[in-house]
Amino acid sequence: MKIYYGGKKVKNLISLFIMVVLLSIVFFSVDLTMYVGDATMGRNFSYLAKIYQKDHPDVNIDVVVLPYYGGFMQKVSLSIMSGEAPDLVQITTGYIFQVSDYLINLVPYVEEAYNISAEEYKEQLYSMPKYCIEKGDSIIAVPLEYTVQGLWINKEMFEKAGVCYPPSGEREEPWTWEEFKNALTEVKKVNKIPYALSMDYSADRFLGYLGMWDIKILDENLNFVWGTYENAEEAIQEFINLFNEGYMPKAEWLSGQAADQDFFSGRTAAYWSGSWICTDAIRVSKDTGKEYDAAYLPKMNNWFGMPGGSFLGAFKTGKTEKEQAAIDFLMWMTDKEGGYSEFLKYGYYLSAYKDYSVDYENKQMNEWADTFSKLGENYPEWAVITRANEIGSRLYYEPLRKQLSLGIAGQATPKQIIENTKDEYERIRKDLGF
Amino acid sequence: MQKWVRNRFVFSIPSLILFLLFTFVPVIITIYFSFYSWDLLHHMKFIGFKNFKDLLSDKWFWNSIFVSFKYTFLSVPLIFILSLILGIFLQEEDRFSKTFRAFFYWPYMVPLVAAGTMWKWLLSTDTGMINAILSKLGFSNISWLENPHLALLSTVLVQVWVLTGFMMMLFITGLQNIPQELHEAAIVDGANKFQLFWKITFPLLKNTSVLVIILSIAYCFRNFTIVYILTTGGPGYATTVTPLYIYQQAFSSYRIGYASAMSLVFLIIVFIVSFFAFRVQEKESGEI
Amino acid sequence: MTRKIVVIILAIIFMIPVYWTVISSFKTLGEIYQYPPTIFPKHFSLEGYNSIFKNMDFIRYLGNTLFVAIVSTVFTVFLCLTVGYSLAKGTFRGKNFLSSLIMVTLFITAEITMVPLFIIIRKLGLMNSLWGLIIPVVFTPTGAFTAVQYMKDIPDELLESAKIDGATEIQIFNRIIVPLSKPLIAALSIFSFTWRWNDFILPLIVINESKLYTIQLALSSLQGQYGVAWNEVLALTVLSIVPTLIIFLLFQNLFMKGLMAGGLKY
Repeated sequence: MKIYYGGKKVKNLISLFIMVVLLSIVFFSVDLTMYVGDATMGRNFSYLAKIYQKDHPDVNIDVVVLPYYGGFMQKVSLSIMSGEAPDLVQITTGYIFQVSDYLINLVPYVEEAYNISAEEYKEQLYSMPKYCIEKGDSIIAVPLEYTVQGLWINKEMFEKAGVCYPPSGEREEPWTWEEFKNALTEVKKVNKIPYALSMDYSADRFLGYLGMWDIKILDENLNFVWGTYENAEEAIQEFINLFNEGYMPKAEWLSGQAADQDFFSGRTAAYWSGSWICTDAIRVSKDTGKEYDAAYLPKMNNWFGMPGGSFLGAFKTGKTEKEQAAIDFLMWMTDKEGGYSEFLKYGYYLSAYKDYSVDYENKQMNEWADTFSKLGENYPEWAVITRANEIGSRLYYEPLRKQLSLGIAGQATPKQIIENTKDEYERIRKDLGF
Repeated sequence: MQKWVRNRFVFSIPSLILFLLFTFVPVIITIYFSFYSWDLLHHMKFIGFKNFKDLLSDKWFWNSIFVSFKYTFLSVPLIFILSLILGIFLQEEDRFSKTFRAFFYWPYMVPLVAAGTMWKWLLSTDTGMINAILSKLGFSNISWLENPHLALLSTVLVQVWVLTGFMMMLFITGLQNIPQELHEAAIVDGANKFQLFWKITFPLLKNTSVLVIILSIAYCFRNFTIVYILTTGGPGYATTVTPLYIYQQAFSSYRIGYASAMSLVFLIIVFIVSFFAFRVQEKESGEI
Repeated sequence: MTRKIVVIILAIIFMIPVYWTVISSFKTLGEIYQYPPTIFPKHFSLEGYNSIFKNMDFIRYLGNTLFVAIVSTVFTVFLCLTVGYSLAKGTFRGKNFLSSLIMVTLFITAEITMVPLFIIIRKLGLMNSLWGLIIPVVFTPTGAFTAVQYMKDIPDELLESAKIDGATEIQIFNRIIVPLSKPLIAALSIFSFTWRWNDFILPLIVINESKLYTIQLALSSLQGQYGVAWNEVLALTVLSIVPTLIIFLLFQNLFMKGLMAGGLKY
């Protein structure tokens, strides 16, 4: 391309200028590493990182996906222990408390970015994410997706059995526990399937179930109170009966048989899971033509869907330039006008902000989002505090579900399950130095 | 220095350095950890022998040792016999043998996680291929992975499937080392196939046999991926082998110190037992 | 003839899971979820494979894994041959002790020494590097033990006569031991390649950036918190099995032929 003003001199100047810009991008470019615990989320982040890079060409974000159940926390712990923590981490409610000491306090940045106080910022969130990101007066992470437990329905099977599920025109109110079991029995009979309901082998689901009974395992002061409830054993037995009476396949809780596979293959007609299945449901629907729907969980003494979600935090690494770049990215991610809305839309995630939701441009997803919103609106405060804490992280994940599995295998009575869990609780307390 | 060349110690030196650094020192560190209480994220607390006292009364730890023994001593004989037979059948260098060896070795080449997942699908009680076929044939579903005894047998099955090809290769290497002349001479002397095997082949396979047995035992005691993927140790603790229990204690319960103590105790127990098995086997083969 | 029939039947049984995986990798996600499972894909689909190539830097991961596997194998074979010779035919005092020591470590699970190993690798500066996947495991007790047992079968007379003829140890090693160990070398190469190819614990603790991912690490990260993309897992599994199969077939031919042509004279 020829430049006519001043000829060669200007051309050289322009080339020099371009070189300086490129060099500065290279020299001043910052490489950030982000640990993520889910491959799909990792891809979503790579996509978002590309968008972010358009306006910030000097920042490279390497999204490192780690196997969630097979090493995520080990890797994160080892990284922290060795002083080589990553710059950013996507971390869930289950684990955030283990690493909260090591995350940067974001209060000054939030206040600067949004011109509101940290308190105001936190008030915008549902109480679950709000509780998880605060540590004393600090904010240690920003919320990503919000998840709510709910019931997934195989539409065809329910229609064939003539059973209406809430929320729908015919049935707006959630089922009672009895009605729920009857509905399942009917659907199972008419469709001639071996079971009615699937549930992942996860302590979290069980806590959702217990929440319906209004039974807590830990109270707000993190004392073990499970045994103090009169109907604690009854609740456990009722859960075990779901397996013994053929509602749920024992295999799911005895050997970890994939519950999503049972549901999507039609061996069960309902799936007690949550909002994170939306992407899969849409996908399988497209492939097989089968239709799925999100429905209300049954109501007992309480009615709500157990909330959850994950968060984005920046580790204190001591490298100021990287820390700053990481924080900038964080702020962009949590900005509804920045990366947040794109993140929700792209991944079919629910918003963690109370008064903010997006149009997913997919009719089904929008409907499902409404259903989950309803489920995620009225959970009691204690559901948050007693579930998301350091003791809980260690008590619920493996020990609790293992005890339940023993119960289902007939090797432990409800009383023993409670006692054994209590023993484990006490050991954890001692280890943590409480 | 000269002496080291003469007695061939010098050939061990590179291996020795790497062995010390990456195999031996980790064990020492593990011993160190076993006297502490540590969760990776906070400070280590010295607690002396408490971990060892705890594991003595940990019934699930001892249960896991029992399960590990069952698992290993069910798998190893099956692996030995099957791989020996296949090794004999496929020891020639003809097209048939060379092609078919791949079919048996392939399971060993498959990453362990993938192997476990493949079998988990096939054996899945409600959605698996095997039960699907069985129900088509009129049988009811078999709980391959939920019945405590069947679950253990299923894990043994997968373990045998994985290791046989590897051991077969070791046998083939050993068999191919037996000089043809010995066989030819015996045949000339009128030996039949059976005598040929027992009197000539098998005794000459002694070193290979020892290798196969020790490696199989070690491999089975060490392995937990197969169980982890197939049954997560269930139902209950019926298939929880010790490495799996240790892993869960270390990384799900955040008890690195306790896990280290258990690892040491397990290592000692397993080694003592294998040592005796090895000795017994040596004595017996010496009498042939 | 009976031998061939038995082998074929067993081979079919052995191959069922692998057939199942390969066949399923060509199904759509929806069909993978189907019950009863289909023995042959109704709609042949490459969506799993396409997804892998689109979403991952597969070629790079393949390159990384190949580098690690090949380089490790070269070192491992060298180390096993030397230590095997030393422990099988050596006459130094600590010989039996060393053999036993190596044998004990056969029983150690990788998952348990994860944390100590991490500390050592870090201290040596091997973190976040492909060499960190090679050096810590290049000496394997299994390989060493195998080599020792194998070398015990080499007749001492051969070595004695060579020494009488005035050969140095190096000459004995190069001219007698190595050529006689061809089947061992082939076996060790195949094993070592397989082991390094399938490592997934070490890459997890050593690698910190996606550029250096190995195939197994990529495979295990597909099992995420919110679900598993089964069609991708299957496709990647199949892709990860192919190279080891190729190596196996190659090495079989290269080294095992003509073994008896040399002949061992008693």
